[in-house]
Amino acid sequence: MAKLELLQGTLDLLALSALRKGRLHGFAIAERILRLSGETLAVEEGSLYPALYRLERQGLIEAEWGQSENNRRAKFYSLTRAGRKRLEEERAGWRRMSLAVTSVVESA
Amino acid sequence: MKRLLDALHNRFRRAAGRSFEAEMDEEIRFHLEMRAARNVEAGMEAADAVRQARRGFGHMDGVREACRDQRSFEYLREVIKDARYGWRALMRMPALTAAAALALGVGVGLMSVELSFVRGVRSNLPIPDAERVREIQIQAREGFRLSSMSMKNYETWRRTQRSFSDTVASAGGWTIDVSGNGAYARSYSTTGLTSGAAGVFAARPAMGRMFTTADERPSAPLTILLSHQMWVREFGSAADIVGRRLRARTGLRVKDKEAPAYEDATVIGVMPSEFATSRNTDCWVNLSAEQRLAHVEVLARLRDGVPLETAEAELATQGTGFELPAGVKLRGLASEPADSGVGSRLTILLSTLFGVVAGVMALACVNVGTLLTMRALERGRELALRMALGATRGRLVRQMLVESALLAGLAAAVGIPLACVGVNLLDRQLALDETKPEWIKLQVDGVALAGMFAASLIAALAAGLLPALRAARIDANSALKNGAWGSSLRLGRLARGMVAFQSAAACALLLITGLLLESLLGVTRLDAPYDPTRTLAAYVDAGSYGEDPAPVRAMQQMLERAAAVPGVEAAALCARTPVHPYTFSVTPRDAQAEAGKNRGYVSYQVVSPEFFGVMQAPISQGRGLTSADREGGEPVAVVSESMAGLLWPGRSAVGRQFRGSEREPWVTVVGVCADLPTDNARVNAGAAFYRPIAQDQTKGAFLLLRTGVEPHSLFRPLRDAVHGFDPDLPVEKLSTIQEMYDRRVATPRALGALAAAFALSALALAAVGIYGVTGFSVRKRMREFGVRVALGASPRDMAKLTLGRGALQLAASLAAGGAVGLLASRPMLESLEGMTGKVPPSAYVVILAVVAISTFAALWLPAREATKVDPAETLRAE
Repeated sequence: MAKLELLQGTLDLLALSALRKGRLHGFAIAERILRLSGETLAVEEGSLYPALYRLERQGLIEAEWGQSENNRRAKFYSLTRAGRKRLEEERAGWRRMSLAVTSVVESA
Repeated sequence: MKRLLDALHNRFRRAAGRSFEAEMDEEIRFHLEMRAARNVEAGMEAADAVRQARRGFGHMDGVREACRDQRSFEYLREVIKDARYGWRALMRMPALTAAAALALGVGVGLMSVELSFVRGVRSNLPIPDAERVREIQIQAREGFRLSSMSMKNYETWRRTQRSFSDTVASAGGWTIDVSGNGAYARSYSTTGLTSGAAGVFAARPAMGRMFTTADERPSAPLTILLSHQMWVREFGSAADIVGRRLRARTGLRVKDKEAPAYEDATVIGVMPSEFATSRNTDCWVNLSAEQRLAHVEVLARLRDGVPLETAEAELATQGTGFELPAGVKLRGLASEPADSGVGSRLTILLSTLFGVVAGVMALACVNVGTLLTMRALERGRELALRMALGATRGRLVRQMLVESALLAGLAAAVGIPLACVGVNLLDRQLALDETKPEWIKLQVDGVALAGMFAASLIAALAAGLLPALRAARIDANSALKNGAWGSSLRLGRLARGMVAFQSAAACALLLITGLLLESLLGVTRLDAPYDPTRTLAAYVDAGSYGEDPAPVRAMQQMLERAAAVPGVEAAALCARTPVHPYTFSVTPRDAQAEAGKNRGYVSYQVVSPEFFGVMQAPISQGRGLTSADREGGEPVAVVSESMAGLLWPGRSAVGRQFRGSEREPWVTVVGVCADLPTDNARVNAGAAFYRPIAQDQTKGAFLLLRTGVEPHSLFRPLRDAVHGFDPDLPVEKLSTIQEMYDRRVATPRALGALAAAFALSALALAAVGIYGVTGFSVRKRMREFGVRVALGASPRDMAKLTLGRGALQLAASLAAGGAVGLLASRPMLESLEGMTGKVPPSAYVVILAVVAISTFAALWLPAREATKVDPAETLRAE
C-alpha cells in the first residue's frame, strides 16, 4: 500500500499523540507514528526534529538525556502539563474536523 | 535526585549554548544508527541500510538549520555568526569596503561639522531659560525688521508693555578710555546697559551691584561694571575694586557729536566670568536717560505664564508714537530669539552650505547603495549556493542586513573622529574673529552626529536590503547553472544611470562649493607690495584735542616721535583701518559723462604724504601728496590705477576732478599710484583714492610703521613714544597688518576651508562611485570582451566600446549638473557680495575641467583593463 503524504500542520499533533503514553526518543516517536498509522503515514524522519524542537520551545514537551533500550545515550521527550492540555484540545478539534470532512466527502 | 541533577546539568549545558550543536548531532546520529539497525534487521546489506536511513531522513543540513531556527536565543548567536561571516565577506573586497565606509563616514562627518557650526552660531545667549528671552524689533511695513531702536522708543515701549517681566536696553560696540589705572590711559570695549539687566539675564554680580534705576537718572554719574576678565587682567583681581574711582571717557556719554571728555567714574561691581551680552565687551557702563542714543538693542524676558504667542500678539499692536528712520513705515513690533545675530547674517550662506552637505550625503548614500548592489550581484552565485545548502531566505536577508550594519559601523569609525577634528579646527579658526562673541563655542553636536549616523545606517540598510530581497528570490538552480547571475542588460542600465547621476551631482556640488571657495579665497590672500608681517599699525584717538585742526596736528607730532623710534624705517598716518577702508560712491567731473552715469564704488582713505612710501605704492603719474596739501588749500587726491581706469578709461587721470555727492567740493587728482590690496574684495577692489590727512576732519588715525626689526619688540617703545607726547592718549589695535588682516578674514577662511572639504569629498565620492560601477560592469563583461578580442578587436576598439558611450553621457551629465550648480550658486554669491571676492570666469572653466577630468579618469581606468583582456585567460576563468 502506498504511503500517504502528511497533511500540512498535522506533524505537531502526531508527535504530541505519540508521546501520550509516555516518554520516547525521536526515533521511537517516528516508529510509533508509523506503526500506529498502520504503516500508512510517511513522516520524512528528519522533519520530525524541527517539530520536536518547536514543541519544546513552546513548552508543550520537555526533553532529557537518558539510556535507550540498547544502552545508548538518547534524548527522550515527554509531554508537559501544557502539552497534555494542548493535545486534548487538538484531538477534539481534529475529531470534529475529520468527521466533517468525512461526511462531506462520503455524502457528496 | 539524579533526574534533578541531570536536568540542572542540561540547563547549564543549554545555557552555555556550546553543546547545542553537539547534542543535536548526537540525536540525529542516534536516529540514523537506529534506523540503519532496523534496516539490517529487515535484511538489508549494511552499506545499503545506512544509505537508506540517510535517504529516509531527508536533507541533513536543512534539518539542522530548521532545528536551530526553533531556538529563540539562537537568533542572537546567529547574528554574531553572521557578523563574523559578514566581516570576512567585507574583507574579501577591501577596496570596495573601504570606499563605501569612507563615502558614508565622510558624509556623516561633514554633515555633523556643518550642523555643529550652524548650531554654534545660532546658539542663544548663555543665560538661564534663554528661550524665554526675546529680542524686540521694529517691523517695517516694507517687510524688513530693524534690530535696534532709539533709546526714546525703548522708554515709550517699556512703559506700555505688559507681557515681559524684565526689559533691558544695551548699546554694544563702543569704546571707553580709562585713565587713572596705571601710568597710561587705555582703551577698552564697552557696552551701555540700563537697569533690568539682572532680571533679563538672570544674572548676579560676583561683587558689588549691577545698574539700578538710579543709574538711569538724567544726570547720573558714569558707573562701570567690570567683566571678570577685565578685573583680572587690568586690576589684578583687586578685592577692593568696588567703589574705586577712575577717570574715563566714552562716546556713549556724549550728546550731539561732541568729543568725549574725561569725567569721574566709579566701579560698581564685577560680573562672573560666564556673564555675556551679545557682543564681546570688557565692561558695561550705565545708560542714563539724557543720552538720546539712536540705536539700542532691546532684550526682554517673558513674564512667567505668558506664552510667546500672547507676547507676539501684544507686540504686533505696539510701536505707535515711535520715532522711525526716514522712509520706514511701522507695522508693529516683533521678537526674535536672543542670539548673536551671526547666524541670521550668514543665513543664505549657511543654508547653501547645508544644501551642499545634504547633496554630499545623498551622493554618499547613492554611492554606498550602488557599491553594495554591485557587490550583491557579484555574490549572486555565493548566495545561490548557500540557499542550495539549506540556508533559508530569511537567513540570507539577515546576512545582508548584518553586513550593511557592519559597514555603517565602519563609517562611524571614520565619521566621528572626522567630525571632532573638523569642529575643533573650525572653532580655532573662528576664535580669531574679533567680531565673534566669545560665548559662541563650536562643539560636536551629539544630536547631529547621532542623527547622521542613523541616516547612514538607514542608507546602508536600504542599500543592503534591496539586493538581499532580490537574492531571496533566486532560483538556486538557474543561478548556479548560468554562472553569470542577473540580467546583464538591466545591470547595464542601472550602472549607466548611476554614473550619469553621480557625475551630474558632483558637477553641481563642485561648482557651488568651488565658486564659494574661490570667492572666499579671494579675500583670504593678502598680496601686498609691502611686507604685512613687518608693517605695524596702531590707532590713536586724538579727539580730546578739540576742534580741527588740533587733533591732526597732534597726530602729526606723534608721527614724528614714532618715526624716531629705533627700528622704525618709515612711518605714516592713515585715518581708516589699512586693509579695510570705507567705500564711497564717486562721480567724475566730465563733459561727456552726465551725473549718474559712470559712477563707481571705490575705497576711500585719508593719509599723510609718507603713506605711499610705507605701503610701497609708487606714484606712476603726476605727484604724490605733500605737506603743502593742507587745510584751506585746493582739495586734492591721489587715485589708484584701477580708479583712474574706472573713471577715465584710456585717458590720463591727472588734473581731472571727481566728488562724492553734490554737496561736496570737487577734488582734483594730482597723481596716480599702484593698487593696494584690501579685505573688501567686491567689484572695483583695487579702486581707491587717497586724500591728505591735513584736509580731513579726522579725530584719530592709525600710525603705520615699516619696521626693520621684529615688529612685536616695538610695541613697548611705540607706546612709550605716544605716551611721552600725551599720557592720556590710549594706543589701540596695536598689531601687524598681517594680524589685522587675519582677524578680519577669519570667518571667510573658516567657511572656505569647510567649502573646500565639501568640494573635495563630493569629487572623491563621485570618482569612487563611477570607478566602482564602471569597474564592475567591465568585469561582468570580461567574457564578452574576451570573445571580442579573440575575434580580432584591437585595444582601440575595446577602449571605444567601453568609453564611447560613457564619454557622451559624461558630457550630458556635466551640462545638466553645471546648469543646476550655476542656478543654485547665484543667490549664495549675491548674499556674499561685499564679504567675498568676485569669481573670475576662468574659475567656472577650471571647475568644469576638474570634474570632467576626474570623472573621465574614473571611467578610463577600468576601461583600460578591458583593453588588456587576454581572451584565453578570461574564457577559461569563466
